[in-house]
Order: sequence, then C-alpha cells, then structure tokens
Amino acid sequence: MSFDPEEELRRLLARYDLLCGIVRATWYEWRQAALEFAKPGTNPLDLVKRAWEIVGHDTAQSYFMALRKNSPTFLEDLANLIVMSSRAMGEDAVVIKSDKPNEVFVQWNECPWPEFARRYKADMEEDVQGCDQWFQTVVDDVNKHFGTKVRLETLKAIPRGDPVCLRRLWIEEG
Amino acid sequence: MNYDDLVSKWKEYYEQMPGSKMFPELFKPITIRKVKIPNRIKYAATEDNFNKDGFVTEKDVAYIRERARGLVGGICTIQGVYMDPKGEGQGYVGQAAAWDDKFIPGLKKLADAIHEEGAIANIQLMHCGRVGGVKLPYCVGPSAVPQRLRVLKPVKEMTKEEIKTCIKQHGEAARRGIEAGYDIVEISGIVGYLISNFLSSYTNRRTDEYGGDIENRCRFMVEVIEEVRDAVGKDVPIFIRLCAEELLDEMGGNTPEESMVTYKMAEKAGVDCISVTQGWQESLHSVITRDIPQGHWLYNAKRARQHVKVPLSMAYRLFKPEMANKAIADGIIDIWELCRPLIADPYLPKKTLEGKLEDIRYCIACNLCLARLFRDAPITCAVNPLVGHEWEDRWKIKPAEKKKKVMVIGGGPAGLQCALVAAQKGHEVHLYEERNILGGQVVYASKGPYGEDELYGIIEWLKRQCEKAGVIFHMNTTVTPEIIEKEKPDTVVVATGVKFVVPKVPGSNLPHVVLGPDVLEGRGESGERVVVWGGRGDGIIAALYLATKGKKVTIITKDRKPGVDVNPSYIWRYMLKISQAGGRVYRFADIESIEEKRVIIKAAYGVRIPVPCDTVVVSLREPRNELVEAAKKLCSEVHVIGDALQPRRLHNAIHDGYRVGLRI
Ligand SMILES: Cc1cc2nc3c(=O)[nH]c(=O)nc-3n(C[C@H](O)[C@H](O)[C@H](O)COP(=O)(O)O)c2cc1C
Repeated sequence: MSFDPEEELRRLLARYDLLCGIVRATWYEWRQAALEFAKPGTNPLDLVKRAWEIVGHDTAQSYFMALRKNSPTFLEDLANLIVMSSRAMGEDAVVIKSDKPNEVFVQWNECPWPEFARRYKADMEEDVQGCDQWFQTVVDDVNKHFGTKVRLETLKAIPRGDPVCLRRLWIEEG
Repeated sequence: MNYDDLVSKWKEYYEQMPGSKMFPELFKPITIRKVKIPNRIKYAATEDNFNKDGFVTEKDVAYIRERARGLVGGICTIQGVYMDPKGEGQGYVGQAAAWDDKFIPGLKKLADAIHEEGAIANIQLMHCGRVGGVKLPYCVGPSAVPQRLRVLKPVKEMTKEEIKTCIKQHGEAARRGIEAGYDIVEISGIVGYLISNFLSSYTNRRTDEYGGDIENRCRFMVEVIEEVRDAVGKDVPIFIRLCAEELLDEMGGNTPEESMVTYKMAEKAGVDCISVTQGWQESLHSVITRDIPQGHWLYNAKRARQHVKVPLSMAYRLFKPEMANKAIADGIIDIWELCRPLIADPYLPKKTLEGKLEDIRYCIACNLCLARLFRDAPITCAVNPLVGHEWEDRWKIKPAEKKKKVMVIGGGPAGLQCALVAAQKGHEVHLYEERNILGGQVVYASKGPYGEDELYGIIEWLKRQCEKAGVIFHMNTTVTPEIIEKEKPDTVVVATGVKFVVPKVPGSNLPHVVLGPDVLEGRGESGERVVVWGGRGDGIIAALYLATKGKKVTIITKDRKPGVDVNPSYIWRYMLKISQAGGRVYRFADIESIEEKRVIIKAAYGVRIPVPCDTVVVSLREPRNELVEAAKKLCSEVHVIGDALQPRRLHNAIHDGYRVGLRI
C-alpha cells in the first residue's frame, strides 16, 4: 500500500487547523449567546474574565500533577507548562530565562486569538484581560495548592498593539 | 459486656485449635482500658456504600455479621460514620451516619450482630474533609487548597465556629456509638480525611490557632480526642488512625518527623491505640497496590514504636498471618488489622486459627472494592462474589435437589468457580482443560512485572477448593462434540475463554506478527521496537512486560484511552511505567497494514502514521464459543460463562461462574 508521509501530515494539519478555528469561533459564539441572555447592562469584559477564570481553575488542576513543590526548577517548570498550554491553544510562545534567580519570562510571538476577537467584534481589551485572568487564576491556584508565592505581571500584549505578549513570573521573597 | 467471660470462652476454644500454636501472638488477649479483647486481629473500617440516607441497612448488617463471625473474638470495626446533618463530612453515597439519635437503632443492629458473633464492636467516626461533601457542590477543610484529583469537590475553608461545631459533633456521634453498644470508638485521621487535613502542611494554611506549626495543626485533632473522651468516659478505649508518612512531598506535606509529632500529641491527648497508616488519596505514590511487597510498610510502625507507648495496630498489605504473627512477636505492632483481605475472605482469621491456611482465599489487591466505592456503587469483590449478598438467601450455596452430572469446559477462573459451586451443591462435576495448566487468561495476566504473580493465587485457591469438593479434573483434554456425546452430561458449562485473533490486514501473516500470550510465556521472541495491537488489559500487561525488558513499546488502541477496562488505581501507574520506558500510545487508532520494519496505522483525524517496529504483538480477543451449538444439540442445559460469553475482566469471570454454579 502506498504511503506518502507528507500528504498524511498535510491532511492532519488541515484538519487540526480547522478544529482549532472551530474552537476559537465557538468561544466567541458562546460569548455572544451568553451576552444575549445576560442581565441588561452586563459588561462583556466581566463575562469574559469570569469565563477565563473558570478555564484557569481547570488548567491549574492539570498543572498540579506536573509540578513538584520540592523541584529546584519549580518556577521554570510552571513557565514551561504555560508555554505548553499556549502552544496547544495555537500560540507560539517561549520561556526566556532571567539573569535574576527566581524570575523567568514567557514571550508569545504569535497569537491567533485577536484575529477571532476582531472577526466577532469583541473588544481587544477583552483578549488582553481574558488572558491575564486565565494566567492569574492559574498562578493563584498553584500558590494555594503548593503554598508558594509566585507572582505574575503582563508587560506587553499583542492585542494592545505590542509586537509580542510578554509576562514576567517571579517568586516573592519571604 | 462481661469481657472476662468473653476472653475465657474464646481462650478455651483457641487452645483446642492448631492455629493458636502456629500463631501464638495472634491469639493472645489484650486489655485496653476496661475492654478485654480475646485476640489481636482487627477488621479495619471499610466503607461499603450499602447504607441509605445514613441509615444502616440489613445488607450492611449481614455483611458485618459475616466479618465478625470470621474474627473469632477480634475487633470488628464498622465503616466510618459521618457526623453532620449537612453531609459535609460524607464522603460516600452509602455511608452510615451518626448525626442524630435516629441513627442509633441502625448502629445498634451492627453492634448487636458483632456481639452475637462474639467479637468486639468498634465504631469509627469519619469526617471526610476534602474527600467529603459527596452530595454537595463543595467540601470543607482547614484551608481552601485546590484539589489535585478532579473527582473531589472544591474546598471551603472552615470558620472557627464551624470547627467548634465539628468537634462537638464528634463527641455527640461518639456518645451515640456508646448508646448503640460499641466497645471502642475510633477516629479516622487518614488518607485526606478532615483530621489529616488539619495535620498536614499541604492542606492546612491557617494563620489562627488551628494552623501554623505542627503543634497548632494538631490542635483540632487534640480537641476532637478530648471531646470524644468527655463523651465516652474513662473506661472506653479511643483508637485513632493516623498517617505515619503522608507521601505528599511533592505538594509540601508533612515530613515523617512531623507525622511522629502527631502521634505523640494524640497519645498525650489520651488515645489508647494508634493505627499506623501511610499515604493519601492525593499522593503520587503506590501504597496498597500489588507493586508494594507484603509487609513493606512495617518500617513505619517501627518508627512509631520509638515515639509512643500506646499499642499500635497496622493494616496495609499485611495479608499473611505468619507475617503479622512475627510483627507482633518482634514488638513492631500489637494488633493486626485487615481490610481488603477480610472483604475477600471474612473467615481468614478463623481459618488461621483452625490451621487451614490453604483454605484462605487471599485478596489479590485488584482494588475493585475501591473503584466501585469511588463510582458511588456498592462494593463488590473480584474473588468473593458473595460480598454485598450476604443477606440474600438465594446467593447461598445449598444442596441441589437433583444431583446432576456437570461438564465444565475450561479451567479458567469462570470454569473453576462454577465447578466449585456446582460440586459444593453436590453435583458430580467434571472439569476439562485443554492445557496442562489451569487459570486461562490469569496465567498470562500474572506474568506482569509489578507483583502480578499474586493474581495467580486465586487460581490456586479455586483448584484446591475444587479438589476438596470432589471436582474431577481432566487436564490436557480438548473437548469435542464426540466427548460430550459419550459422557452424556446433564449440564454443560462452556467456559472456554477467548482466542487471540489477528485481524486480516495486509501483512498480518508475516512471521514477526505474534500473539500476546506467546510473548508472555516466553515463546515468541520480540525485537527492540514492538507494536502492541490492542490496548485492553491483556495489551497493557504485554506492553508492561516488554517495557521492563527494555523494549520500545507502542500501543495501538481503538479506544479513547489505553486500559479502559483496567482498574483506575492501576492503569495510571502502568501507563507511567510504560511511558517512562519510552513507550507510546495511539488512541482511536487501528493497524491498516503491516510491513517488515513498520506498521501503518490509521489514527485520529483519519491520518495514517508509519510506526517503526520489529515485532507486532497482537492482544485482541474474541470469545471462544464454537462448542456452544454442538453442546446445545447434545444437552438440554447449556450455560456459557466468562470470556466465552464476552471477553471481560477477572471479576466478571468469577462472578459469572458463581451465579451459574448456583443455578445448576
Ligand atoms: C473499600 C474500602 C473502604 C475503606 N473504608 C475505610 C473507612 O471507612 N475508614 C478508614 O479509616 N479506612 C477505610 N479504608 C482503608 C482500610 O481500612 C485499610 O486501611 C486499607 O485498605 C489498607 O489495608 P489492607 O491492605 O488490609 O486493605 C477502606 C479501604 C477499602 C479498600
């Protein structure tokens, strides 16, 4: 039986791209439906942040299994998990090490989500704050679970017009 | 209760029994406060999901009575009861309750049954903490530390007022236990239940007097013990189960040294016996699975001995009487606890006393009981089909009205179990096995590398019992329609198990395509890169076996995940071992063609992937039932059981065998 690996991979990628597109579209379609049923005056930003918070709890739970409190690379392991999640979401992200101990950066070079936000006429700020909420919830849950003091701040965001998204993770002293 | 009479009655009996000489330590009395316990054997608390709305059912009473009877005077603990009306402490849907006096009559039925069988009744108080709230959208704990296991509920931090109420509820439940007639009150502080949540640095982040250093984290436990003591008075022993080693390092749990502080604090607060335990449900480490050797955890009891003076008891993979007797003789423990072994064989202590060790049906640590518990179902036992049916007359083996000649075809677990029951009913039973070894699929399953040899114990037990019951074995005999015709049985039981089949795909007749059993029995040599075709239990065992031999294994399964039929407490460990050895899995996948150095699989999204391999191990099964039609023509009563009916797991085979055996 003839077998053409390139053809198989191309087919897989096409189907995978389609699926990812469906997932992103569904996100905004649900947002629209939820807003239509929401109480009058509901701020879409609040709705979106709450939704990402729910996602964050779920993501955090999957991280609990992968992280070890007693690992010397705990912070970097967490950053790597964030990169892994982001890649699974169709983004292109990398971990950037810092000169300082207990500090690490995650940089997103590409992100397909703003394009969908635009298509579904969602405010770009929802994308930024939605993402922030997601990662903040993950970090908060990780702290609660492991009794750690990881902190997070967003330094750059593609939906705000920056060339990349950049987030700093560090462990608070004391 | 007159404990002196009880002890002397049992002593007299023990003296006549060989087991008391073989295992003298096990059959020595022990006195704790005013309670004199005739021997050193204790049935450990077992949640069974048999009860309804907190009320004890007849099913539970019959279950407990059976265990009490087998204990020949030992301690029979009932399942941990929850103590609050909201059900925050309830961890299991069928858990018994003690939050109101209305539960006393039911609890009394259990205590009465235990006493009627001459055993000592122990009531366990168990607030399930972060494992609780089974009927609520949340559970409670000292701090709202997010759960690791998705099945568990989000945790709400208890207020100080709630803590005080909870402590009072322990006292009230203990009082109800005493009113119901229990001799001992036990507090469960293990595996992630509320007391352990307060003790552990993983789950207790409070900044008030109930949190902080280990002494403060012990405060809740100490106040519970004091409250229970106030409720039960000075004569009643209070036992506690405490973790000697949490095995929660990855989450920042207590150090083993801190755990010993909890022991000392419990002793100081007035407990009379500590049950030494280890591990949490959330721990990443094996504790009670087969990969843990018998007696492994005794080192924790040794450690505990150096820190406290109160008697110690211990369960946890301590199944064998000789091991327990030695542990007591060596001064490591004082009381031998058993949970799963007495689910599997409630008469284990009695058989030990009678010196009938060969009759003990040992637990195979398959953890079916636990898997059922966590799925909100009543417990069952793979090797003891009677569990949960003790109260039903129709499940008892009674002499048959008409004696029949029964032909059981197949000596796997289904055939053996069926033959045993039929023979015990008085039938003339002939069991045919075409190989020279009994056990069917268990022969292969027991080749697994992580203690799976223990599985074969049930086959040996069934064989011995069949021999005692008069089953006539015909080994190395392949049954044909001619044999059925010649033997003229009244009943034929087809228990011929499965055959491994190679689906017809291009290349499936190549020489490097072999069957799983051949590999496990060392007949088929496999190359370095092996594809295991089929991801059910058999495939997993083959993959594990090969992975430990250093092979690079790829499992191809049509299922949504590998090992869908394997017990949850095993499959994640197995998959971890396989992936640590470089193994891979393709789900939703099947083999499309086989070539000399690779297979082409069709995976999710309809994508074809070439997987390099030197050997293809086929672990796909079909029922072997070709004799059924012929048997039906020759005999008016034909039963098909076990895998011959439908390939399933060991417990299905044994339960099929038992049920059909009863019907013959
Ligand atoms: C089905 C099942 C139910 C259990 N229920 C309880 C319980 O209610 N309270 C408790 O303290 N331990 C409970 N345990 C833990 C056992 O008492 C015991 O500590 C554990 O099974 C290890 O002992 P073993 O190797 O003898 O089974 C349960 C265990 C099983 C298997």
